[in-house]
Amino acid sequence: MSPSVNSILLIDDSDADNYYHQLLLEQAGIATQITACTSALSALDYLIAALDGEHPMPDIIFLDINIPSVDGWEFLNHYSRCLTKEQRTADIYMLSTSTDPKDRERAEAHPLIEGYISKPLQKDWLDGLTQQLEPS
Amino acid sequence: MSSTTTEQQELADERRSIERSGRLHGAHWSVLALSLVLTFFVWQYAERQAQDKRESRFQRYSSQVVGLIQERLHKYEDALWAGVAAKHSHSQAVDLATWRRFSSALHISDKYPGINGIGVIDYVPRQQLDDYLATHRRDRPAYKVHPQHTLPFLLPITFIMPEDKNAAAIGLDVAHEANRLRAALNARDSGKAQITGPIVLVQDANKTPGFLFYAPFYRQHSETLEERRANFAGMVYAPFVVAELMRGTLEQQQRDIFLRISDGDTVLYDEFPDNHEAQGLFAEYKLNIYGREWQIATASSPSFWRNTDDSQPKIILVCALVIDAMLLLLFISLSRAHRRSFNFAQRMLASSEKNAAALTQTIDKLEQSNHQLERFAFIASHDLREPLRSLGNYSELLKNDDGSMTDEQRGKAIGFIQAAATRMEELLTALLNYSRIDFSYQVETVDCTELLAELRDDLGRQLADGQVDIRVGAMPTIQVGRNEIRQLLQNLITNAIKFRANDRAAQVEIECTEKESTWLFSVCDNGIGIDSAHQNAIFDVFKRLHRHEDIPGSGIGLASCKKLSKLMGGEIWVESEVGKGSCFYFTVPKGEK
Repeated sequence: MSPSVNSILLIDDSDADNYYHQLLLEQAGIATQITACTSALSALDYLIAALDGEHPMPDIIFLDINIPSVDGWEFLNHYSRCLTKEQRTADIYMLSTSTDPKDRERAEAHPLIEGYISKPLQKDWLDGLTQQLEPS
Repeated sequence: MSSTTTEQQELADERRSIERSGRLHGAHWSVLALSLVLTFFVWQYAERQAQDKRESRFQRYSSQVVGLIQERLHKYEDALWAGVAAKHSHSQAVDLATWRRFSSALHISDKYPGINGIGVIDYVPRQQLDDYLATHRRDRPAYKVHPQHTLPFLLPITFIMPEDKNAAAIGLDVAHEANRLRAALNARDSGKAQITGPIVLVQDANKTPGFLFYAPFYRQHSETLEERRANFAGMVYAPFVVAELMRGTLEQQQRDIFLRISDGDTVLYDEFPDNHEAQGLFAEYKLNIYGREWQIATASSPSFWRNTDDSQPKIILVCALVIDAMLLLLFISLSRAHRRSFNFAQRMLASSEKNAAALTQTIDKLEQSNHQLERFAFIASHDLREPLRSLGNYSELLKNDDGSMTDEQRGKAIGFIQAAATRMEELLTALLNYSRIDFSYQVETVDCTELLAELRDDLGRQLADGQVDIRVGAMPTIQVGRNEIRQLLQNLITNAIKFRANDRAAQVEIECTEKESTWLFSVCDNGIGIDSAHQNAIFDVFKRLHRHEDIPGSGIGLASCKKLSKLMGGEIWVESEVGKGSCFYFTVPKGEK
């Protein structure tokens, strides 16, 4: 069974969460490459490096909101400023522990965000994603 | 809002009306005035009643006295007619002995105290004088008639009893003098008892006014004036001293009035005191008596006033005035009580308003604190959930492992579980410390030099690598909570070391400057610094600028610092430049607390 997508980027300050999600995604076998960034700035560096062709542009980005220094929302600002519309190929999912309903509303209304998921990622949700990706 | 305004307006109106009603105003004064007018009228009425009563009493007394005088004179008249009867009963031959017997039977001094005596006056034509004298000189050889006059008849006093008192009158010819004569002729002509005008009795040594009382007798019964004149034989008479008569008549009587008796211009009797005319009650009577007209004047005497109970109107007046005064006092005291309660209500209101203000302040504080607490709980639960979630995630993963996990993966998973547990403990400890801060803050004298030396020892052991240079300036001894300032300084120094720059040795400088009302402490480092965008947020609970994987910490340290400095009554703030270092400042008030 070949992976559905090429590359997935996790942006979360928590090493524990990143590793857990990495394991989960690996077990699901959705992507060939899974990368984790622990800050928004390093994630932007990674994306810019992808534009330069150092590594492939991620197909899916899982973005946490509560990240020290530069948070998820600010990352999105930088993201839309640094990358052109054509370059912004990744589907971005908000993956957060925030229970603030405003965050969910804001995420669902945000044009760059595909969906809002509560941490941690669930196997069922991943299966659904896989099925969605399958026909293509 | 508008209903509140209306209510306030109503309250204000009500308040003004209550305040107004508390004063002594028109209604009170008119009640008082009315009551005073009523008092005056009642007093006047009672006074008039009393006056009427007095006057009628006075009139009664006066007419009583007049009646008594008349009655008394009638009684004397009876005595005279008794004398006339006695004379008739002895035909013409009444001698001295007979008259003496008659008069002693009368008991003059007991029964007729007003008269000096009772006597007989004989009508003697001048041609019969010698016979007359001869007749009477048989008993009394020295008897003579006097004084001399030229009338054709004589009216000598033949007998008068008692003789000793009336010796001067025996033989006196009453025809010698006009007053005595006129009355005698009137008696003769009328056949009735008559009295003379005022005279002075010859037998009265005091020469006080008096009169004679005549009762005529005739030789035979006479109907007409001519018969009377023809048959006139003499008179039984009694001499009166008016003073004696009055004493006798009225001595035992009620004497609450003064009496004055006049006959024409002559005053017969006068009890009026010299200056009596000015006051009191007066009455005058005309008394037609035995051919004379007497004026009897009466006046109230002091004893009349003494015996008159005229205190009633005065008592009424005094009582009513007392009632009025009490009414006034009542009004005043009511008004005062009203004013007092009004003021009391005002004070209560002011105090309750003050309390309300204090309450509002407290509520604001509570709300603020509640809000902080909610936020705290929210953030704390979020941060605590993070390691918990890791624990759950990895335990689940290990439990469900079907052998596909590598040893390395399993080892890492267990490592994350352990890290999560440690972090949990760390967070909980920090939270506990933070929440303990508010308990019983106590000020004591703290030598800051000593305190910092202790801190340096503790930290020195922790950071024995010698990479940290801590410098302490001159420190004062101040009044502050020892534990609080120790923890605050420790947190700040720990932070300074924690956030040091990797490319240079850490330097921490601790200073204290004396300001006007505070001590200004500063903890400066040459560490990584803080972006100005975050300089306020760092004092919030769990606000972290760095991943705890990079720089360990609970996220509570600076929040604790803020809470501590607030507790000490001071402020805390930061000045910093990214890449150069940070300076944390806090103040401690100099006051007793």
